[in-house]
Amino acid sequence: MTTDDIQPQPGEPVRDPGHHHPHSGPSALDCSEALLRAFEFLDGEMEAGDFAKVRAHLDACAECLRQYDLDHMVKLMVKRSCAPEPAPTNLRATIVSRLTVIRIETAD
Amino acid sequence: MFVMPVAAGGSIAAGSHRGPLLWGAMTTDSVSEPVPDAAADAVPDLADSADPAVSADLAAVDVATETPQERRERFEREALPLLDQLYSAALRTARNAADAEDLVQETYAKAWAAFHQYQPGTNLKAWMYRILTNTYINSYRKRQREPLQSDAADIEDYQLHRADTHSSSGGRSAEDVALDHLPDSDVKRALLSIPEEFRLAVYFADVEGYSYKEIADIMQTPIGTVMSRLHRGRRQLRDLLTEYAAERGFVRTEGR
Repeated sequence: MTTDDIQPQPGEPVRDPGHHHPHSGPSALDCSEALLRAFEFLDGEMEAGDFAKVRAHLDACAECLRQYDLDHMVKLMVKRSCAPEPAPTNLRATIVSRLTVIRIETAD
Repeated sequence: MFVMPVAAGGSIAAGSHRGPLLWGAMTTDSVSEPVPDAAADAVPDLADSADPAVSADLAAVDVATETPQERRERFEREALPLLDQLYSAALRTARNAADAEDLVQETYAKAWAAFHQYQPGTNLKAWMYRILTNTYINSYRKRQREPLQSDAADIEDYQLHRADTHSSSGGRSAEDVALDHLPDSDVKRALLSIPEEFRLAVYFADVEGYSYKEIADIMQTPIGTVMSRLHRGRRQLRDLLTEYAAERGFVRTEGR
């Protein structure tokens, strides 16, 4: 358990107190479920039926859509900021030189 | 069955003629957690995701009969081209460039030591990432004497409490600031500020584009743990980026 663990307390205000949506029904997602599964949706890890449910929810719920957009933006920012960087040439040389040493050692 | 690369430590680390520079960490890393069934069963997916052309070529390799020279050439041919990617991942994992180089060197030393156990035709990059992850988590954290990150209650915490619907800070919300204006250096700083298991999971998902199942194989955890790490890591990232944006005065004045 981390110190920054999020532990909601009873009575703690929700992130979006005025967060209402008009649709309901046995198959419709509520916002809590939609937000819980945001990353499965954004990562393409959701099966078609669930994906459609989330899509329907986002079509009807501007606040959840806004949350999804922010999460998507963070995902893109991570990818953008971690662009590949070439390894130093001396690192490659060191690795190769140690392969030689190991080969000699393991061959005897 | 995927063979744990660190299993090589049992015989290799016993060799007294091998210097500590190369094998120092092998003994400590040899003790590994049992691979969960879910992760072990999922390994064929790594093979499925390998380049088909390369797989066909590699499948013809007879590991049992190849000479040490042939094995070395095969390692250089297949593993060395991954160096830039592994180094990039290490840069985002370790605290600085020197640590990243050490991490990559150690990863390659272990990978070479265990290369006879690598199953040709399976996903070599994922296999290397697995070694890098093991090396980092086991060795570097011990060195830094950081407390262990317990995953025991992660999934329950994540699924039962649904922390998402609750604000994690009383400050500005992400909607109030312009996250997209933040420089890359802030994103890197935020990544380094979250627990390493979270950071690695986010890196594998967002930068490498690995599936949850592939990340579970690399990190040797159940998929539920991967989901929990991604979920919590990204929430922490978002909160940090929100703080940075507020500090920089990137406040939205429109649309609210």
